[in-house]
Amino acid sequence: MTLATARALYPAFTVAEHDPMADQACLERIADWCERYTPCVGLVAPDGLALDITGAAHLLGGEEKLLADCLKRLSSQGFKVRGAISGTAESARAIALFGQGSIIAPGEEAKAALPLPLAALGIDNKLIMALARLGFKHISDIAGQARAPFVARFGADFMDRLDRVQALVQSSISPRRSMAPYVTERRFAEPIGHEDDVHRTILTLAADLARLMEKRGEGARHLELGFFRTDGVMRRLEIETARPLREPKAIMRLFRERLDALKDPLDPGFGFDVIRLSAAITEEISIHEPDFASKNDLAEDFASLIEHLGVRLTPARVLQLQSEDTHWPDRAAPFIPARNGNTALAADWEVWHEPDYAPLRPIRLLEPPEPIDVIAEVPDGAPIRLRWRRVFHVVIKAEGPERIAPEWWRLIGQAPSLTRDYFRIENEYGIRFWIFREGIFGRECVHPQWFMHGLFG
Amino acid sequence: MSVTREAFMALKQAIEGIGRDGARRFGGVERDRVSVGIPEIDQILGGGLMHGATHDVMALTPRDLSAASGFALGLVGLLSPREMPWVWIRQDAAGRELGEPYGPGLAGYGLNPAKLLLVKVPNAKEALRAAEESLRCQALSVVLLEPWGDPKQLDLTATRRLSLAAEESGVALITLRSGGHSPLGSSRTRWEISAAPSRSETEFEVGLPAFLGRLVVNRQAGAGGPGGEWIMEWSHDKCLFRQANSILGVSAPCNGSAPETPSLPHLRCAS
Repeated sequence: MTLATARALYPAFTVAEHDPMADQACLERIADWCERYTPCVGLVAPDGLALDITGAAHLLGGEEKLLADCLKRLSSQGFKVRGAISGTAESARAIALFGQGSIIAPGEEAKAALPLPLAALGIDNKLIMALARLGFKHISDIAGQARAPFVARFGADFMDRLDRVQALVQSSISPRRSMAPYVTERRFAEPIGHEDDVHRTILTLAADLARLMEKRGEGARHLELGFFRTDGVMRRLEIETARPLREPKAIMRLFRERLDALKDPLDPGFGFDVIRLSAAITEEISIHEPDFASKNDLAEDFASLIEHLGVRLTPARVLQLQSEDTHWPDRAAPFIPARNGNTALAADWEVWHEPDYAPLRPIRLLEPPEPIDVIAEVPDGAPIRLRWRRVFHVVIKAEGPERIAPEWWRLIGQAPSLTRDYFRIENEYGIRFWIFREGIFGRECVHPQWFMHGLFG
Repeated sequence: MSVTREAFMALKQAIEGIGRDGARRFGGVERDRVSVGIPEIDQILGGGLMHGATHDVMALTPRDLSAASGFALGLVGLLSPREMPWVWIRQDAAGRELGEPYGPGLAGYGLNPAKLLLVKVPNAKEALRAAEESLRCQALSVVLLEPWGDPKQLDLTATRRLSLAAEESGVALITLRSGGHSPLGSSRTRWEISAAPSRSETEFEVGLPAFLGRLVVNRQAGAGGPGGEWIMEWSHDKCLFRQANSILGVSAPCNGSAPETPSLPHLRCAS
C-alpha cells in the first residue's frame, strides 16, 4: 500500500521516516537488557535477538518460565515480541516467526521445521520465488530430496541454512560482547534500590568472584558491573585496575569510588532486580612472600594509588611521562596513562641534564605554542620587546638562537613545517621564557611568526 | 555526662604532646630534615626543611607564577630522592595558563621525570581529594598540589586535614598557590616568591633560575627565627639552593626599569 492510499483511507496517520540507526540502537538496548538471562546475546539483524541459554534456564525455573518471563517483560514495555526455544538459533527464529508452539524439545527440531514455509530459512525473496516456480513451497518439499542438485543450483549456503533450521548441524551465536571468564550475579525477588543494599550486594558479589578467581590463582584487570532495572534499563560500569586484583574489599572500594564520581548518578528507578559482576580480563597473580614485603608493599601502595585516582578521574588524567628519542620539542615528552610496572628509566632523561649551564629547556611547556608579537632589531635577530597575552615584556637578556629543524622524515605526505629558532629570554622582572621564531627569514618565509612555547623557573 | 579519669588523662597527654611551637610530636620522633643549601635558612628553619609537612609556595603577583613553579620544583628536588615517585596534582586551568610539566625541562632542573605521576584534576574539590589520597601513599616522597586561583574549598579545615595526612605518612606536601591572598593555613612554612633576574656575564646569556623568596610563615619545630628574605638561585647540578644576594647588584642590567620591591608585610610566625 502506498502512503497516498493509506492516507486516503485514514487521514489521521502519523508518518515517520524509517530510521534504521534508531532501530539498531533500540535493539542494542534490548540486547543489553536481555543479558539478565544469559551473558551470551547475539543480534540477528534487523529485528531479532538470539540468546544462548545453555545452562542458564534452570536459574529461572526452566525454559518455559524463562521464555514466558522474557516475553511478558518485553511486551509490557510496549514491544511486539515472539519467541521460541530450540536447538539452534536459526531453528528458534524460524519457529518464532512462522511456526506453531514455542519450545521445541531436543531432537524434535527437524520435524518441527517441516511444515514451515521456505521464508523461514531467511533467504531472500528472489530465491523464494525461484523455488516456488519449481514447486517448492515448504521445507518439507526439500528436506527429503537429494542434496547435490540443490547445492549445484542454489549454492552450499542454501543447504547449510536448511540444516541449521532443522538443527541437523550445530551453530553458535556470535555474542555482542566477549564473554567474561568469571561472572557472578544476584537476583532479587524484590527489587533493591537503596544505596546501602547496592553496596552490600557489590561486596558479596566481589567475594564470590574472588573465590572463583582464587581457584585459578588469577586476579582481575578489568571488571564490569551490570545493573538491570526492573523497567528494562541496563547500566554498565567498568573499571580498569593497575594490577591483578582479587581482594573483595579493594574491588568494592574501587566501585564505590566510581559510583561517587559518576556525572549522572546511578538511578535505581523502581529498583534493580539483577546485579552482575564480571571479570572480563584477568591475569595471574604472582604471589610474593609477605615477609620481605617492605619494598613490595610500597610498590603495591603506589599501584593502588594510581588505580584509585584512575577510577575516580579516568585513566586519561593520571599520567606518566615517556621519553621519546627526538629533538623536536613538542614530541620529546608525551604523557601516557600511568600503569604499574611501567618503570621509565631515569637514564632516558640524562641527556637533558647539563651540569655547567643554566637549564636549556623550560619546566612548563605551552601546548600548543601561543602566537606573540615581537619587535626585533633585524628580521633574523633576537627580540627586543614582545607582547604575550596582551602584556608587554622588555627583553633584557636573550640567549640563542638554538635552531631546531623539523623531522622531515616523519612529515612525508604532510604539510611541511618550518624550522624553528629558539631563544631563552629574560624580561625586566626576571621572568624567563622560551620563545621561537618559525621559519628562516628570506629562505622559508618573509614574515616569520613568533611563538611563546614555555616558561622557565 | 561524666568524664572518666582515663579519658581525661588521655586528653591531657594529647595536649601535652602538642609542642609549644605547634609542632605535634609523634612519640617524640623528630621528622627527617633536608638542607635547603643556604646555612642561614637552614638555621632559621631549625635545621632544614621538614619531611612529612606542608610547605606553601605563593606567587607574590600573578606574573611571578612561573618563578613560584620553579621554586616549588626546587623544594621537590630537595625533598624527593631520585628513585622515589612524586606526584604533581594540577588543576586544568593551571595547565592552560602556565603550561604542562615538560620532561626535558624537569630533567634539566635536576628532577627525575621518570618518577613523576601527573594528576590532572578538573576542579579544586577533586584536587583536594586526589591530594589527600596521595598523601596516604607512603611510596611517595612529595606531593605537589597546584590548585588554581583562590578556591573556597582550600580552607583551614581542608589544609589541616592535608597536613595531618602528610604528618602521618611522612610524605611532604607542597602547595603551589596562584591566589593573591594568603589564608591562614596549617602549613609549616610559607614562601612568597617573586621573579628575580638571573646572574650572567652578558646580556646574551641567561643564568641559573633565581628567585626572590620571602619566608613569611615559619612554624617548624625548633625554628630559629621569624623569617627573612633571600635571593636564591637553584643549582640543578647539586639539587640545592644557594644564596645570590651578594652579587645581585652587578648582575641585573635592568636597574632602571626594575620594579620597586614591595615592602615586607607584617611577618607572621610562631616562635
